[in-house]
Amino acid sequence: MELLTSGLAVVFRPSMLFMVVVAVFLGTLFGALPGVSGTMAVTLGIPFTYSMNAVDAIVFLVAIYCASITGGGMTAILFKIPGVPSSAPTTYDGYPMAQRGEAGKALGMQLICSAVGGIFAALCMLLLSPQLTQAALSFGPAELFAISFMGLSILTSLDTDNICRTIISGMLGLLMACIGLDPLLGVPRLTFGTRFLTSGIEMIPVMIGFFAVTEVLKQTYKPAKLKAVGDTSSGKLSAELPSLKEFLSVKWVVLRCSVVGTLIGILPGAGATIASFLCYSMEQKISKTPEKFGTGCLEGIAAPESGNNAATGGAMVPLLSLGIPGGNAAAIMMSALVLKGVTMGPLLLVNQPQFLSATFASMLVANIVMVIAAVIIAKIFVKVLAIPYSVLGPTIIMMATIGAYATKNTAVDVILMAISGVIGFVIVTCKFNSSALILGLVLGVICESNLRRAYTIADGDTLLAATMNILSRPVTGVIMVICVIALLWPVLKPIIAKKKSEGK
Amino acid sequence: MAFELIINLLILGFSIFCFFYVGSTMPKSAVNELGAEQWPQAIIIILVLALCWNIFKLIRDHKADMGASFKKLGSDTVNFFKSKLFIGMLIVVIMSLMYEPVGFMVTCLLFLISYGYLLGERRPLNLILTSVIITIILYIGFAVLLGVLLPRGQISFLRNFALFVESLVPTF
Repeated sequence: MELLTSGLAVVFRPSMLFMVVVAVFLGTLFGALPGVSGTMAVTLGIPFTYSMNAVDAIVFLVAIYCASITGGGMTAILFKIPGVPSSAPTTYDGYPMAQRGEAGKALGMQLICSAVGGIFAALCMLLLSPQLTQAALSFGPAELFAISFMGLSILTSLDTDNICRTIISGMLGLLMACIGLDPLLGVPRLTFGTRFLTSGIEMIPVMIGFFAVTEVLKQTYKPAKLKAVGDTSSGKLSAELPSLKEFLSVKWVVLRCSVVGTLIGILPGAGATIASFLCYSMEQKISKTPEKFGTGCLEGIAAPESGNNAATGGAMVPLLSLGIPGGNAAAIMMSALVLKGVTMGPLLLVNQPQFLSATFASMLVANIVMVIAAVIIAKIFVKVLAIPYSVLGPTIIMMATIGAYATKNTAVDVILMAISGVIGFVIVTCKFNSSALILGLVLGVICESNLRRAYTIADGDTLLAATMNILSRPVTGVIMVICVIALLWPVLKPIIAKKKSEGK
Repeated sequence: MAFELIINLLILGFSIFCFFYVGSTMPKSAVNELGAEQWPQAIIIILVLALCWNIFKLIRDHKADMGASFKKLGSDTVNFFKSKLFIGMLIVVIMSLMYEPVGFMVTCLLFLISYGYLLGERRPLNLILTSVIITIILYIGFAVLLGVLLPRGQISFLRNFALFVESLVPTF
């Protein structure tokens, strides 16, 4: 209760409440714009946090993140173009509803389900994070390595059609994280004699480059045309709320998907996109009328929207309690906090519990404000989308540039951002996975420093003996087994399926 | 396909170089500890294996059109250098290089005009007007309201121009 009060005290400070409302509007708008993902929305929000303290910064970024996931559903319903990748399943039923002239009802259902999913996940975060933190406090470097490695174990699941390329991307990220001063010895490593690389590859400019600049370059290469359908042509678009009866008809769908979404969000590496797809397919499978899915039914909107918003809260659990980002957006929030001098890890919530309470309060308020904000934005949204990309694209790059420069006030970071944008485009063209690369870059230093500390502490005459000592620790051993299964399962699954089908 | 193969081979070559480079530049580690060179080398080993497998798959899957793809590479390269995409990349890189020496205002204005033109805006008045408005909005939003440091430029007359514009904006 004390935690909740202190969190609400942070968020309800007039200046902060104003910033949360601004964040919700910005997030909804960013999320609704095709080509601006939830991660990019958080990235673009970073420059706004430079004048804030660490707690205010996380409150602001969390509000942007929650709102962007909801905003993404709007373009999915109106234009059949998901504003964020996690809104892709919303197009299956949202767009047919809009075509039938029920865009308002579809948007209303999307907003309510998003808010319920987000608030449910926020409550779970408040209850789970302190427990996880308490458990994590007894962990040593070996356990912390195992937990951070768990984040990497999701690599093979990020893109099951391109496992090899995803591994290459992840390894490139890990290798990039090795550049700079060695975390234990303090000697320059892989710097090739240049002083620019001595402090390592700064995460924020690279992320901004990969997500913002690459996206604009992609649009420059293949521009996407937008055209709204349904009752938008009259200019009287409204996000009318669904009736109580209609909402009650999907109550179990929302509850199930909120639980699943939160659990997926907690898993390091898995995020809102996986949650929304999984929730949609799960609901389709257990529905009594699966044939209705894809034709414009409310369940088809409720499932992905409550799932992807619940994942946003889930993603904050490992970030706050263990210092491990649950996804790309969480990784950016982590970088923003590190930049403010915050030491991420289990001790964060012990020494500064206001981070948890403020994040919870922010999610709670953001999810409520979001419904009101989205109703307003939905009405003016069609007009906003009329902004030509020749204005929007360059503006996005300029905002990204401001963000990259403000990291350390050096031009090197702006150049790093530009180069990362170009490399990001090459990576996407070669079908590599930029999310995997970022995951490797973020988790690289945490993994390495903990593993090497674990080896220093472990008794053993040889490297093998020390390895056995590390793996014999119960928590480390169990987590590493889970990691190996998680890493190998996507590789083995198609082989097993093939063998089974051959056997038949 | 040819481009993909070349990129894969370049990464492979660079990885192998890094493997030996990091081995030769790091202090030697004890037999029972994980040294500064061993973690990156372990990553590179996995990376090289994955790259080899990827290259093998690329060659296996595109055996038939491999020759044609390499023949097309020359014309594709020429087309790339003429494309909007390359010019876009060039504009972004140039902007990043001039951001600090020239300063935010002039860089932002020139970038918005040039990239807007690249993306198809052909009405000069519209282009200049929107670019000026966005530059002002970004400057007021970030520098004035949020206190984010934006470079004024290192060239004296550009710096003086930035200071002059700043003097016109009321402080909060």
